Amino acid sequence: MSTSGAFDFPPATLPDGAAGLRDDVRAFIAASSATDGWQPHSNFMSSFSVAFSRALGQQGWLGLTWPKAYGGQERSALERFVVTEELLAAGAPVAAHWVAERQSGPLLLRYGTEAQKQMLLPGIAAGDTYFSIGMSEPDSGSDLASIRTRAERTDKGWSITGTKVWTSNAHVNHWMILLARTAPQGKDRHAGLSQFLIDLKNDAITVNPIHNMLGHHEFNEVVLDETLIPADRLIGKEGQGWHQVTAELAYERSGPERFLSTYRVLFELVRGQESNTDAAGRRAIGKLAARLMALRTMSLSIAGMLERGENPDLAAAIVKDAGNTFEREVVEVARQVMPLEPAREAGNVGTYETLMAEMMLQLPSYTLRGGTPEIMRSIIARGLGVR
Amino acid sequence: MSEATRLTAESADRLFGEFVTKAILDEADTGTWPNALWQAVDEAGYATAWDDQDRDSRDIALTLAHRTGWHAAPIPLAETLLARHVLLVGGITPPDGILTVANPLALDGPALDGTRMTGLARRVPFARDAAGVVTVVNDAIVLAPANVILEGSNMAGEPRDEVAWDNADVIVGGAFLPERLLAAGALLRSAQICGALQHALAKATQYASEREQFGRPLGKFQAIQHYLARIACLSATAEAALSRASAAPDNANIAAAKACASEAAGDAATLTHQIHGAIGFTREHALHHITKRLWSWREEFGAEGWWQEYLGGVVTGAGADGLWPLVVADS
Repeated sequence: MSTSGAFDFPPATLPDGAAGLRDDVRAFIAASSATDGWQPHSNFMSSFSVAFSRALGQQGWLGLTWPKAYGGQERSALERFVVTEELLAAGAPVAAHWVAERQSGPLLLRYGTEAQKQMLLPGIAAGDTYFSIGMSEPDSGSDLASIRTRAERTDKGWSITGTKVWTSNAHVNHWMILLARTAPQGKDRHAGLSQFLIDLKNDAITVNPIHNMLGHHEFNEVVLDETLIPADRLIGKEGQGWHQVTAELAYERSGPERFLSTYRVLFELVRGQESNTDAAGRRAIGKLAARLMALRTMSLSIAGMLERGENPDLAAAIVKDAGNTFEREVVEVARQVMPLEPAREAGNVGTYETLMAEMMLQLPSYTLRGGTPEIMRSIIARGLGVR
Repeated sequence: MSEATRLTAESADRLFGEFVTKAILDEADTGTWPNALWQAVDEAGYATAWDDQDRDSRDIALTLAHRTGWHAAPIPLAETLLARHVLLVGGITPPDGILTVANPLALDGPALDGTRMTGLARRVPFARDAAGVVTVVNDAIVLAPANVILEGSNMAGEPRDEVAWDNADVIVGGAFLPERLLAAGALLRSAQICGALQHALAKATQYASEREQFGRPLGKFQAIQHYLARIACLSATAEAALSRASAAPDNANIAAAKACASEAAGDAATLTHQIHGAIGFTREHALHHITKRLWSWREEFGAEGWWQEYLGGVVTGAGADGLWPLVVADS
């Protein structure tokens, strides 16, 4: 009902067949969970399972919207939304393929050469080929345009020197899409950037582990020292890297993973309160449920924008900021309603206690990955016309 | 937004833009009935826009409520729309003119004996101006006379009167649950709040662009940008919950809509005032006509706490396995 247009979320309706697809995905997840015994975990980056990703690929549920020629199914962004939200809500182990299918594939589809598309997209759609994001550097976090990694043209291709950090799963993934400077920074700091494909298994790079505060190894530092790559690894146009990376970030920010990361906490909270008659507990759960219903409606609307080829940058920034706020609130509200001491090891305690510990320790990263709230709010303010 | 609702919004914006002036709002704030405004609304046919039961009529009614909220129009259009709609559902022909609705939670034991009713309704919107009060008694729709015994108002100066019936003649219609009337009232108030939130955001954005301190517009300061972004997030969340409830107006969706709208109202009003500084606290500035309504409407037809508790009951009743199906229902 907005007449301002500044932050419209037009209602989206799922196409016929989405309900059947949803049922199929649920049945698949239930069977997979029963067979392979994975524990639900709604942080999309936490459970890396090659077997699960390949099984999803065999179902045809990765690269669902891509052309059939590249392993896709030519179905709608709204159907892809159904698949992703069901996987996240169920806490399925999706980390292996997630980045590749969400942003690397779509980026290649939009800007890649025909050869790049043919070489890489079918593997992503099959759940076989996994990607890392090569954006942040030791001195460049939110200020992405300040990166210093340099790519220089040689007679055989490119020579790249620089260091990337927070590179999730670079030690197990196959490819990284790297943002580098191909021209010195001038007056327009967004000019002179380009994107490249780095072969994580075969290029001359060093991957050093960075353990996070939970003790998990997801992050890495990736060091390139005059690393030579062929000329055909340039993605899109030389110097258009900023424009391309902005499009990539829109894919990264626009999905339901931006408000569902703590969904399993809410699930366990509701389970624990099923027979509770306490009004304050009901009120707390109702507060979270109301917000979740609204966020899901907004997120579905974004899928509708993607389907129509519209730019969802502003809407995605709003959902990411409001979604991150919600994810944190779920944990804080749960603490009040069901105050059980969080526990790192299962030992003698239930799923709720271990999930709470894991989530509290993961939460600081949720408001960093995909762009900080500070950056999201600046994007929103610019969308309103100030700045 | 459908073509019909878009045209309705444009027409309402033109009409309210002309008739809801600062002078009219200031006068209404102290109890003057805006006669010319209501006549224009009546002539435009807005009051009867929800007489039909289809989805389009509902969307148009909610759009009208939304725009009255944006403009802070000091008239019971939402109440009249709802009263007529409910009467027609219950098989009662609505009387002409202004009608209002008594919140079923604010009734004091009405006893119904055939078509005679004795009891009390508190905080009835615009009862002093209305030709009749619609409410639900004994799970049936009732049209009762607007016997005002005590005039009152909300924070925005909108009439909220006490109505009493002493063996009064009423018309009793078809079956209707009190919860359904409460929910319908909450849905309309949610739409009004969403309109007012959009206006608050527009005013805050405009002020931040124009007002300069330390040699630059307020909007250049990151703290102010973040306040604006926060208001935008609150407004967008409330709008999304409203659009969900307009598409599928079951009690769970309406509970989410009113919970989100009422929750957003308080935070957005606080931030909007903070951005405006002292001028926003004056009677002269128009901001208070918006924020007083936000603070009033968030309580009416159930505050966020009431609807959160209701929705929490639905969620815990359905159990953990029922939560996700509820979230993705209707789409």
